[in-house]
Amino acid sequence: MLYFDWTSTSPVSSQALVEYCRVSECYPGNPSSTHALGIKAKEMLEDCRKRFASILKVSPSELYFTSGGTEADSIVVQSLLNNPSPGEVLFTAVEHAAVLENKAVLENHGWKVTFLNCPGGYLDLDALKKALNPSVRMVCIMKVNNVTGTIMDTESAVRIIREYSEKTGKYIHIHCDAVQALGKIEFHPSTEGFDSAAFSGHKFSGPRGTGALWCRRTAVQALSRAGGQESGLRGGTENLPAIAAMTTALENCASELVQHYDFVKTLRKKVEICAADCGFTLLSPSSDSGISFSPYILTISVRPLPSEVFLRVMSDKGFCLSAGSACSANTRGKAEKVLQAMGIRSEDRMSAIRISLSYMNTEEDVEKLCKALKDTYKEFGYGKN
Amino acid sequence: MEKIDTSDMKLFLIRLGEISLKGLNRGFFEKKLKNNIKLKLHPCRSLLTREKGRFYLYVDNSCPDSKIEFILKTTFGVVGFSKALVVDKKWECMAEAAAALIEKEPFADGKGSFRVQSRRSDKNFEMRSIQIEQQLGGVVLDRYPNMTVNLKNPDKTLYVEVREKVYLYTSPVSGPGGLPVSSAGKGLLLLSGGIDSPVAGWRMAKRGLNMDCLYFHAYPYTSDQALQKVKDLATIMGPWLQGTTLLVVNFTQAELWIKEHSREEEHTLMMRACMMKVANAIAKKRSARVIVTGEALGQVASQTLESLCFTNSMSEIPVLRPLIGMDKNEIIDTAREIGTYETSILPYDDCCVIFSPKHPLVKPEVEEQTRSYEKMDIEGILEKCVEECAEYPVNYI
Repeated sequence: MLYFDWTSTSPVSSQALVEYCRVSECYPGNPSSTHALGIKAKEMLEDCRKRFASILKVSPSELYFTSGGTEADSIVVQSLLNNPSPGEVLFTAVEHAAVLENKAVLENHGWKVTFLNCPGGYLDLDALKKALNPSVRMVCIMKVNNVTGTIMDTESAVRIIREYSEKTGKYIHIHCDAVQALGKIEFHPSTEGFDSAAFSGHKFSGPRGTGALWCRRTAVQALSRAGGQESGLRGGTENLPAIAAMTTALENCASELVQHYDFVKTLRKKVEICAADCGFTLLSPSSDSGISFSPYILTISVRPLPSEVFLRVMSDKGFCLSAGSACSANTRGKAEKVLQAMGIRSEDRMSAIRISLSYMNTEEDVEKLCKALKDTYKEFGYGKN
Repeated sequence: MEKIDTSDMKLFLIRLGEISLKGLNRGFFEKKLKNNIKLKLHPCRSLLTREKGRFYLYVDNSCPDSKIEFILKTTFGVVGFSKALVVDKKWECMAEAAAALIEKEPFADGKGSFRVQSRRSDKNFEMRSIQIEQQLGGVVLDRYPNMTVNLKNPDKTLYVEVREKVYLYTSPVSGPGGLPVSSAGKGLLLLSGGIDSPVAGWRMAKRGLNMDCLYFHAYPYTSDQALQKVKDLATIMGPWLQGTTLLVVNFTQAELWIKEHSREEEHTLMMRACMMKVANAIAKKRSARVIVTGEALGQVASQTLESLCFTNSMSEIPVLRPLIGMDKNEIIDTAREIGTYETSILPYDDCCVIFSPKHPLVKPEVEEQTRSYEKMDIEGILEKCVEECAEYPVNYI
């Protein structure tokens, strides 16, 4: 099978696997134990934290290991529930379900949740300005959209929010879901002015069940305190081998970030040319558009074919792709909702195919993919000759 | 009762309902039921005899009670059953047997009211009926002190019959009732992956119909998970249907042809018409005399009275629609009861959105639609569907 679904998950890198095994064998202790093995494990854990934090250019004391991006997002958003009086929270309309699905919980506790318009996948800054009001306590803005790969203008958004806070004297927490950014594009949450950011290990070839939360404000509180691990923000014995493997995977990605980015950009361009050739509609920004996007994600419409039909045939031919967001393909309409919020018409939403790339794909893989896309569309009786 | 060596066998009493009311045909129905039960019990050794409107089912001790109970609960024609214990005519043996019986259904929850009902054919037995009832009542109350005695309208009854041996059994566990499968002949069930058609099949099996199941698969427009779902549904229904054969027609070419050669608003009707044509041909090949569908009046566009009239006109043999007057909630209740609901709601569609018109015809005219059907000239494709139909046997247990 040729894999083009890296945005859903990425296979664990061989270096990360080696590190997982090494740490499992050499660091058997619980980092909370006070005996020699525990102390050794704790040292390893803190070493991972320092290395991870240095890539993010943040203080290690502000970095907490979690079970993934969803938990990191939930810790931040559900911390709002600890406020004595409810207020308002702003989500961009194209957030991942890890953020969006907190809506019901917040509303059940009296919070108002407002979605911010994102035409074309980009936050409407005027809509943000209009939505800001004294009751807003938090704004969630994702860095890279998981469905189309659009990169938000977070710099401008943060500036608008901070200016508003200065005027009103009310601090607003700005959270960033950076799951699709880390390891793929330069991302330094502190420099960008965020208060917190969520990361997931398996998106950059770390093991599943790993992630991290960077957070500089103490207002955030734990979902589960348990034994007070991770400075009390995320209880439960740390999964040290997996954390070490995730850290190694991140270092691998970060060390060649630019080279990987440039290479993947050439791959994406090839797929874009093929898409134009076939008559597919690009739902992600085109390389020539001059706007900001991640080359790792390219979503196209294979209209009039339903995406699941097209994917089935591609799968039979040995290609792994997904329809919209894989995390929510089983829950009908979720990825569709995000595409709808971007202003994409119904026929294209139903036909959306997400091709996600990696530096581990080869040019030959992509050429095979392009041929298969073209052939398949033709077999259904569509496309150009 | 005929003399049989039942020393290493256990006994179940089976109550027959509607069958025992049959006149001259009673033997036919009883024979069907007997065969159905014995077939499911195979290879466990079993003996089944009839007396006074009951079946006495002896099964080898090695056969687990749970298996026997499952079989009796899923065999149409069984109204109720009780496990009976046969012991020597000694008070200690009777008390021990009673104590064992009340550990199981329906006494197992230890709640409600009960009575002991004794019948003493052997008048030489040392205890009189009233004494047996009182003493065994004590056994029950010792075990379940929260239960109460109610002689007129008890929730549960412990029966004792003193004959050449003593037979003890409790009030019956409910069976599904109905008529034995195959007693009414053979039909063909159009089985989709939805909630309705398994219920329709179950209801007709309850009236004694033996059925093959027919599924229309349109890969890649419908997924292999959708086909697997239908196979799973057929497997769940297997015990109720006394086993079945799942027939799978590759319907892709037909669907594409319909899409190309009919008006969009007619697609669903044309598809239903083609399904009827294929079902008729397959029914003929498999000696099925009726088609069974899960349609309910007005549920969707293809189930309005007008649409049903058109679909009917495409069938040469009768189409039975046992759910025609049922609400969706009633259908769902039955689906839950028979265990198909959770599988039916899995999100694998049996029809692709590409073939579903946005605005389907809801009041088609039979003649006009028949002309549209004929204009499609699809017979050749449908014949191929019938020829290439795949078969999957589904077991009865």
